[in-house]
Amino acid sequence: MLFNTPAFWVFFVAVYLGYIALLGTRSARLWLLLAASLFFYGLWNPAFVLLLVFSIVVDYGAGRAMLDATPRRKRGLLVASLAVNLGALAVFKYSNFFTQSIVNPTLAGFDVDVVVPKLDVILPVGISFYTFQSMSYTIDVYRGRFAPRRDFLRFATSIALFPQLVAGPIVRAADLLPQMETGPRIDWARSKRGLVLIAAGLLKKTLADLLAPVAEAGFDGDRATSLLESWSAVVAFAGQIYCDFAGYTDIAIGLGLMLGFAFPRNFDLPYLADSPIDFWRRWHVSLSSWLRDYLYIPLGGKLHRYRNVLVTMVLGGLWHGANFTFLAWGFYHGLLLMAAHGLRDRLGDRLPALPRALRVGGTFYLVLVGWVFFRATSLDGAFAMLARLHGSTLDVAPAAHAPLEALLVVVALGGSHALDALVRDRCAWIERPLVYWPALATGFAIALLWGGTGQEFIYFRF
Amino acid sequence: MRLEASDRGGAGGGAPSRTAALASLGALLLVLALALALAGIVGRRTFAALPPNGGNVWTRHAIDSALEQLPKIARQPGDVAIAVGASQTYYGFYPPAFDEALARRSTAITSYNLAALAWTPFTVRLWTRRIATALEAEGKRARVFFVGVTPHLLTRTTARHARWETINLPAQARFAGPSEIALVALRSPDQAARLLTARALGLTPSLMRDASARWLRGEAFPRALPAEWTLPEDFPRWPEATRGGQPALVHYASREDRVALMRRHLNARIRQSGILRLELDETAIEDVIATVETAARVADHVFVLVTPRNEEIVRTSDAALARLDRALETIAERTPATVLDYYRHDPRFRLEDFLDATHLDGVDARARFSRILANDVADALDLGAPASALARTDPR
Repeated sequence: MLFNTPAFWVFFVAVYLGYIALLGTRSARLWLLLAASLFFYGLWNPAFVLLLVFSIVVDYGAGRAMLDATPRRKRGLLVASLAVNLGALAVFKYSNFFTQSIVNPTLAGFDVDVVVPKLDVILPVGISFYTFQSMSYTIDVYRGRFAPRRDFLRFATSIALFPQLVAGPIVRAADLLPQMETGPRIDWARSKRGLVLIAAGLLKKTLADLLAPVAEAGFDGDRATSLLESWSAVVAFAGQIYCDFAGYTDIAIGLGLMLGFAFPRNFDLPYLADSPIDFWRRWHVSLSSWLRDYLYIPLGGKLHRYRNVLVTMVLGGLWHGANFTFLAWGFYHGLLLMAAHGLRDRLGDRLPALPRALRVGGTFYLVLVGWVFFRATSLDGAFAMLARLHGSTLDVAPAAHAPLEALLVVVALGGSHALDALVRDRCAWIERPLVYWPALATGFAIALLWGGTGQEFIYFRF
Repeated sequence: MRLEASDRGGAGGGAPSRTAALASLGALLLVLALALALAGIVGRRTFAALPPNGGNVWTRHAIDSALEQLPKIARQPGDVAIAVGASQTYYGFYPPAFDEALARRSTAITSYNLAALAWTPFTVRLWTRRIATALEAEGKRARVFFVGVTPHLLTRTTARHARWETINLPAQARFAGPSEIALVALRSPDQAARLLTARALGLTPSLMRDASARWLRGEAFPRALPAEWTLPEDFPRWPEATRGGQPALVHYASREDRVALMRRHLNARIRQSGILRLELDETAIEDVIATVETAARVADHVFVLVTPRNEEIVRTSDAALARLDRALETIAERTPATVLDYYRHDPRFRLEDFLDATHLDGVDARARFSRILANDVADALDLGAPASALARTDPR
């Protein structure tokens, strides 16, 4: 069930009614949230509810067992928990990539007449998100930063809570569990803001779906696109992936606020970043900070900065999917970050102060090049698109509608950031009733009219 | 290490405000109601402005023109034959040729082609219920009822692909009553909610997107449609003289042109329907069975009709054909229908007989096929059609 479908709103209203009725009773309220979350997940594929529950039980058990355990035993429990979580990811997400793209070609290269068969598995939706959430709990308990929890119901609800279950933001146990313990904070001001975020998220998802065909025509079409159409396609994809993912997390955060929980912000006007380092402070913040705290720093952090940045970004790329294109995307961003850190470390204040517009424009260009790897279905396709972006199809005439389409793509991308700025800065005039209610109704109406076909969110695949 | 404080005998829960939560719920409901009203106003106006078009079958013109025929058919004196189904039936069944061929076999019948482009088995099921209700209201029984089955519309890929929902949702929203919506809700609450929204709005979001794209690009029709499919705006909604049989649409300059378009069309159907693999969806097969049962209420003989395949282009795998065979056998076993399967292999139809990858050409093949069908039906009627059978066609 997707946030941008009418069925979700029927579901949410029903759950919210029950939630209100049970507000005074902690256990019943949590049971309702847990049952609703498992139902929400099970509608996609009931069998994988078991996997989700298994992951929750393993991490809860590992956390509890670490209580008063010897350091050696604690380490063993942590390894077991990580093995189970990463093992599930390995089987469902990476096994076929590993066997079909690495093992089989290697065997063939050595003339070994063995072919490892493809596993008939489908990727459980949201597995990358909830395993990371769940793992953060065990790691924090192991490090002694977070006390293990005794209340299974609260722990399970915090992991499975439906607004953030399948596509983030990645809410760490340390952020959500304390809120579960103190009880939800529902007040009108928060709900009002939640509704604004939901409307903004629906609008962004609609924009993403409108931009998708332009990106598809450039990346998946059967003809070589002109220079203008190629740039349109890449900028459209930049807009699509931002609006799709940021739209989802806006709705998730809005729903969380209505239920009385605060989730961390996941995006902060990323295309206004003025360096690759700045970009990663603004893009998918919950993942980049997770990778920083649970991968980059344990690897040694600044001690071997360049190596660690590269390893972290390559694994971050792989987190998105089992494909060489995602590996290339992660590697590319790793190189960008290494270069950015290198320049800053070596030149420091001697770096020439470029105008901000130039820095933002340059960073946006670099990010767009990265999106080519992310969106292309193969490395060959990515390099072909990069060639088109840099003039290999100058002899191809654009379609008559291409200039208007390009303009609309730019307007849509700019509009999405303008909308974000408006929501982020909490402009007072939005709160005026004569603006607030019509704006909200218009946002939902636009989503109903132009969106709402249940086009999946891109990050469901990761 | 210690357990967290709130676990140590604390109440473990704040006192969230029920009043604030109720206000939040009220605000959400108010916004949803306002949005639905606003979207309904805009949507209905946009939908009404779309011109009739052979390819734009999702427009209400196609739906309305079909609905308008029902009272006339129910009051038609003498024997009638009715065909429902998707575009393979829409283009493949030509009432004048069928009636003429049956007349030569001393069977007078007036047939109607009530099929529509791209209608999925579920839409056909709802539409057949409408037809049955109209016939029952006049106490009329059809002599023959064809339930057209398009193999690639029975697949799981079709069930998931947005294209088919875009086309079918307006018709489903129009035909579905409370009992049908309840049926959909049992299958998929998501689909039921979309159906209800489509009823409220009078359109689907994808339709709105197409309309916007047309407006922005200043084009007459969505770019996705092959130019050959477009019709003049004054094209009659219901071809009265041919009782639903559509005129010939396509003329190719060369065989290469034809093959090139067929391959493009095939690629689209591979993507949208998995036409070569035919991984069949049990729910779609159940829909066909339910359609036949409904048709049997108001018809003496029900035939499940699978029109010929463009074998040179649509190279369906043996495994896929075996899956289709099993599905047709299931339908034959569980319903009183006779299944007429021209799909598996019929050398009487070659590449030149098709207007694209999956539809019989309107120039000659459609009439020829309708005559062949009439003879096969006449044989079945003469012999007294068995209560249930799967008939492989016998190419002569």
